[in-house]
Amino acid sequence: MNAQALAIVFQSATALIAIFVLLLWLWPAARLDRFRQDMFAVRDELFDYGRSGKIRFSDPAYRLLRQLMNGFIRYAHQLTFFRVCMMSLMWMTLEDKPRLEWSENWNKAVKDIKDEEVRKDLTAFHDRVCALALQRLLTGSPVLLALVFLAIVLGLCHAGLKSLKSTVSKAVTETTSKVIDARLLQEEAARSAA
Amino acid sequence: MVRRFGNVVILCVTVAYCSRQVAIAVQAFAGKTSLADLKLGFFANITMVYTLSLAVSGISVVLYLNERRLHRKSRERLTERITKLELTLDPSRTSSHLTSRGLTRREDA
Repeated sequence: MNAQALAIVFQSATALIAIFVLLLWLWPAARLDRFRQDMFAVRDELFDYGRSGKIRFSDPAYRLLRQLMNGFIRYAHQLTFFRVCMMSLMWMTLEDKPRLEWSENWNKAVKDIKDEEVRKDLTAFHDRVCALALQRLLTGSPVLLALVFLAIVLGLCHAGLKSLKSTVSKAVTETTSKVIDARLLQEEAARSAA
Repeated sequence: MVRRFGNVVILCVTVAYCSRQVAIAVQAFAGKTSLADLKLGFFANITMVYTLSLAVSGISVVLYLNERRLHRKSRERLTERITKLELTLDPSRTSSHLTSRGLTRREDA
């Protein structure tokens, strides 16, 4: 082995260390900050919505939604595809299945809202929260990302490139909903914030 | 445990593996080449592109970490005031239970 080979070994070794530092430390930390930042932004918007007088701060729907966001923010570092799979397996294997309390309370609270526009707005807030959580799961898991990519390709083949946007959106929603039960995620987030 | 310390373990194993490979490479020179020759040859073979890439990446990472530190300090400065103001409007306001710098609490990790 000569000095040239030694230099190559040194360069490869330092580059590998740098890549691992980036992939295992800096990138996850940046993703976590980004997710929390986005969730805080939605929570602030919800607060402003409450302050505008359209909904009371004590309204069950408002409180449940805020509880959900707090749970996601607090335990965002644990919101990974691997953990969600483990959680789903645990729920599936339990004989005495716990109630999906948050989802039941949320559906009831939304139904009880009399104003149609407020109901729509709160549902939109809820959808944004779920979309953020799914986005975090999706971008953090190569497995899930590969599945979605496959679904997009299959969807495009099926639709014949007629509507790219709707095919992509359909593939993302259908694949993630098959793998991840959003109600379980919400239940865990709400329980952790309670 | 695997989930919590997995990243650290992988990083440590990589560093150890790389160090081992470098050590094996250096051992190959033992008794064959003088240290002065080795140093000269080694530095002559470190390419300009590599040095530049490493320098740019290093500077970018340092800038990112500095920016992140400043961002955390801003959060710490503003959080208390925002919380107080929101509590005057909604006394039953609930919290996300992060630290004042917006980080995960030790007991939640």
